[in-house]
Amino acid sequence: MATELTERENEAAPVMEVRNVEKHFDPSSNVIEKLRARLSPDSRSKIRAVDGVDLTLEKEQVQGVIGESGCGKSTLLLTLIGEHLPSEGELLYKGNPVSEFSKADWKQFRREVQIIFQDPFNAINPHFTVRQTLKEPLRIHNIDQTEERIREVLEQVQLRPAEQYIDRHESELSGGEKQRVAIARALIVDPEVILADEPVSMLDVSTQASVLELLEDLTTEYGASMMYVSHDLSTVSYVCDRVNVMYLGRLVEKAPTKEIINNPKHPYTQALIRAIPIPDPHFEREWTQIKGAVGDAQDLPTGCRFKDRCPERMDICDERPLLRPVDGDGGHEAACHLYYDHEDVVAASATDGHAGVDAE
Amino acid sequence: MADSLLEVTNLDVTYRTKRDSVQAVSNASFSIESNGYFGLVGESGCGKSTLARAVMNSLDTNGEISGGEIRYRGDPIHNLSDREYKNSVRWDEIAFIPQSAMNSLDPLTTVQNQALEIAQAHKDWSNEKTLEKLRELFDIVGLPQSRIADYPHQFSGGMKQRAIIALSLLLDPSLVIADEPTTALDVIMQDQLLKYLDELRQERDFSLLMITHDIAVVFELCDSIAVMHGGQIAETGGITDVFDEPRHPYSILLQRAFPDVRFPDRSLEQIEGTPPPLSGSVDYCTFADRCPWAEPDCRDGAPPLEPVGGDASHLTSCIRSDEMEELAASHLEGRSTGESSVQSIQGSEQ
Amino acid sequence: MLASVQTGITRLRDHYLFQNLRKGLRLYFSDRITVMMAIGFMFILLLGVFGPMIAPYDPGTRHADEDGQLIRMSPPTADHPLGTTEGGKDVLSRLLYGTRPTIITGLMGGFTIVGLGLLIGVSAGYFGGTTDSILMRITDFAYGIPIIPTAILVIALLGMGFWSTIFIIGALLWRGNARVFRSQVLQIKEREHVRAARISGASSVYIIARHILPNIAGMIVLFFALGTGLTIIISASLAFLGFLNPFTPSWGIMIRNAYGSGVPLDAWWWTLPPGLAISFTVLIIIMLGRGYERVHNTDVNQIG
Repeated sequence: MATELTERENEAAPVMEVRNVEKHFDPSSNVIEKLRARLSPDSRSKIRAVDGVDLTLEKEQVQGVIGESGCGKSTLLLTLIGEHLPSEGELLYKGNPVSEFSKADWKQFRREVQIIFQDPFNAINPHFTVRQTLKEPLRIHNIDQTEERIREVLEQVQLRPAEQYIDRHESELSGGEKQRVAIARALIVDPEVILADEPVSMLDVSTQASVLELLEDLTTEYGASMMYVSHDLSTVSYVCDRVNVMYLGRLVEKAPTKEIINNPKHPYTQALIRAIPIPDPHFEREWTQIKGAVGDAQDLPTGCRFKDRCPERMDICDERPLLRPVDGDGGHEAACHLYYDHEDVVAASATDGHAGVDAE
Repeated sequence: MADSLLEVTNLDVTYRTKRDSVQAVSNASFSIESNGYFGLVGESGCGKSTLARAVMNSLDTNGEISGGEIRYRGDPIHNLSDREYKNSVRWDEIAFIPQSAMNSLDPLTTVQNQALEIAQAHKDWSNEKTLEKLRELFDIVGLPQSRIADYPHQFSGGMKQRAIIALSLLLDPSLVIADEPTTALDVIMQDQLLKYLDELRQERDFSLLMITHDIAVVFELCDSIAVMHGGQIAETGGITDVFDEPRHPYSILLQRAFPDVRFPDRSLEQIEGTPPPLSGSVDYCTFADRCPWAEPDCRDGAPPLEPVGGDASHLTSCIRSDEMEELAASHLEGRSTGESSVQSIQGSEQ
Repeated sequence: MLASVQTGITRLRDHYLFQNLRKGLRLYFSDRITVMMAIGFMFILLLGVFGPMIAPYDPGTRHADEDGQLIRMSPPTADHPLGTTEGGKDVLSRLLYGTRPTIITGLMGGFTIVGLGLLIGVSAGYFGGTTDSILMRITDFAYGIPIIPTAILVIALLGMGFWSTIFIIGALLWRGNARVFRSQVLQIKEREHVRAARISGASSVYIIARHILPNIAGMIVLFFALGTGLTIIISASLAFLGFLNPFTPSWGIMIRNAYGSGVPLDAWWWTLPPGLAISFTVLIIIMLGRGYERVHNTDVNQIG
C-alpha cells in the first residue's frame, strides 16, 4: 500500500527510534491540584515514569527491555505504540518524527505497529468468537476480511486445525490459546513492529515455552521487529538479540543478550542477574546483598537513581551518569561512573562545543 | 516417619457443585519433617492450593475431605471442627499465608494492632509481650522495628509480604504454609525474602510448606519437594533425589520447561495439552493425555505412589517409573553437573 | 423465490446472534423463579392487551339496581366480583382497563431512565476529562432535585398528562444508574481487548457499541427493569397525590379515588386490588431483570 509515509521512508533508517523521550504523569486527581500544578510548575510533584530514554530498533531485530515494577517499561511501550504521547523528546518511525504525522500517517502507523498485552484473560472480548476477534483489526484497517486470512493466521500461531478454534468463544480457550489468539490478532494485519508487554508472565510454565518459541519465529519468518518488555530476564534472553536494562525511568545498561548475562557491568544489572533463582539444588547461589526496595517514582534523588542501594557507590554518583560504551565494541553501554571519568567527559564535550550534556 | 511434623496420607478432596463433583485432590501423600522446608510445586489448577486449604481446615463450603488423613505431630486434624481447629491448631501451631497475602492485611488497622488481635484470640499474653515479639520478628525479617505502628498502605509490596510473615510467626507456630509467597514480588525483592526465609531456618525451629509454581525457588530453598499434576502427586522426595533422578514424566518435563539463566541457549521443554477436567472420581493418571510415554494401562486405574529404587522417601506415581531413566534419556541428558557457561553468577558447585 | 427465502432463513438461524440468543434464553429460563416470573409477566401483558376486551363492563358506567339507585360501595357480588366504587362503577373493569396505561407508563419511564443514564454515564466514563467532570456535576445536581416539588412545577407549566409524567420521572431518575454505568465503563475501558481496539484506531462509536455495551448488557436490562418498576410506583404516588389526570383509570388513580371516598379501609375490595396489582407487577418486573443479570454474570464468569 503506497502511502505518504512509505514514500518518505528512509530505507537505511532504523524502524523505530526513541530520542531522549520522557513521559511525565501528573499525580494530582482533582481540579484544584491540577490548577495549582499548572500555576507553579514544581517538577518534584510529577511522576517521571520515563526520564530520558534513547533506543534504536533496527529492522528484524528483537530487543528486550527488562526492569522491575515501577521502572517505566510499560509506559515506554505504550509511548512507542502511540497510546501516550511523549512529554519530551521524539519518537521516530521509519525515520519520520511521529509529531509530524498526518492522519493518514497515523493510520498506517497503527497498522504496522502492533501490541501484545500481558493479560491473556481479558485480551479477548468474551462476546466475540475467535473469528470475530480476528476480523476486527481487518475491519478497522480496511483489509479484506477473508476466511482464508483468518485460517492462515491461526495456523501460523499453532492453533491447528484452524476450524476447531475459529468458532470458539473466549471461555472455551485455555490461557495459552487465548494468548495465541491475541498474537494472531496482532499478526493478521502484517505488522512491521510488534511490541510485547510481558506476554508470557501470566501463563503456566509448560505453555510459556511454546509461546516464546512462537514469538521467536515471528521475527525470523515474518521479518517483523520486536520490542519485548519483561521483568523476567530468563524469558527475555530466550527471545531477544539485545537487552536494555531500565531502572526508575532510565536505561542503565544496553548490550547484546549474551553480554548482559555473561558480563553485566552496571551494579543494578549485576544484582538483577545474581538474584535470579537457579533450578538446581546443587548450585549454591549467594543471596542478594541489595537492601531496600525500588525508590518512589515521585521523590527521586539527584544523580544516579540507584545510588542509595548501590554497593559501589562513590561521591561522583551524585552526578547523573551518562550512558557510555564499556569495554569491547560489541555495542555494550552502561550508565555508571565506575566505567568512565565523568569530569573528563564533561570537560571534553564542553570544549567540543557540544550542547546538551545532561548533568544534574 | 515417626517424627514427621505433618503427614498427609491418601488424601482426597472433593468439591461438590450443583451438577457434579470435582475431585481436586486424589490420593495425595507426603510428609514434612520438623525444621524442614517443603516445596509443593504445580501449575495452575493442579490442586496445590486446595491441598493447603485442606490442611488448614479452610476449604470453601462446598469442599470436603472425602478420603485419607492429615496428621499433625501424629494426631489427626482432618476431622476437627472449625472451632476445635481454631483453638488447638490455627495460628498457634500452623499458620497460613494465603496468595496475594499483601492484600489480606486489614487496611484500617496498624500492624501492631493486628498482632495484638491475633495474640488476644489465641493466647493470653500481655500487650507488652506481644509487641516485644513483634519487634523481634520485624528485625528477623529485615523490617525496621519502628514500623510496627504503621498502617499497611505505608509499606511497599515486598515489605507487606514480610510483615505478613512476621505476623504469621507471632505465636511461634511449628509450621507455616505459604501459598505463592513470592509470585507478586520482583526478582530482587523475592531474593531478599528468600534470604530471610533461609536465615529463619537457623534462628528458629520451624517448618515451611511453600506452595508455588516456580520450581527454581523450591530447588534453592527447600529440602523436600512434591510435584503435583491434576490433583495427583506425581513425585515426592528429597530435593536432590527428585532433581538428580526424576522418575515421573511430568517432573522430568517440568524441570526442563524452566529456563536456567546459566544456559540461555538451551531449548525449553514444551508440554502438550492442558490438565484434564476432574469431574467424578479420578481413576486414571491425570497426566496420561499429555505424556509422551503413556500406555493404555495408564488410564486404567489411578497410579499409586511407589518408592523409587529402594528409597522409601522418594515416591512417584508412574507405573513406568523404572523405565523412565531409559525412556526419557534424551530429556535427562545435559543435566547440570557443574560448570555454568556464565561467569557472573556467583556460586559454587556442591 | 422460495428457495432463496429458505436459504435466508437458514443463514439467519446459523448467524451468531441468533445462536447466542437461543443459548441465552435457555440459560435465562433455567432458573425456576425466573420462569414463574416470566409467566406472571406474560399474564400481565395479556391483561394489558386484552383487558378492555374481557372486562365485563365499561369502566365509566355507573351501575344502578332495579330501583334505579346507584350501586355504591358494594362489596363483591356475583355481578361485580370486585364490588363497586363510590360512584357505582365496577371495580374489576376499572382494574382491567387500568393495566394498559400503568404498564405503558412504566415501560416508557424505564426506557427514559435507562436511556438517559446510559447516555450520560457511558459518555462520562468513556471520554473522561472535562466531559466527565461536567456530566458528573450535572448528575450531582440532579440528585439534589426533589421529585414532588418538581412535579408540581412541571405540571403547572406543562399541564397534567402522560408526557408530563414521563418527563418528571425520566428527567430526574436517570441519576442513579448514570454513576454505576460510568464506573463500569471505566473498568471495562482498561481491559486489554478494548485497549487493543482503541490502539488499532477503531472509532469510539465502534468501541462503545461492540466492546462496552455488550459487556454491560446485564446491568442495562436490570436497570431497565428497576426503572420500569420505579416509574410505576412513582406515577402511582403522583396519582395518589393528585398530580395526574383523574380520568385515566390507572391503578394509581383507583387508589386515589378509593382513598378519597373517606372509607378506604372499609372498602377493601376497592383499595386492595389496585395496590396488590401494583406490588405484584413491580415485583415481577424486577425479578425478571434480576434473572437476566444473573445469567449475564454466569455467562461471563465461565472464564476458565
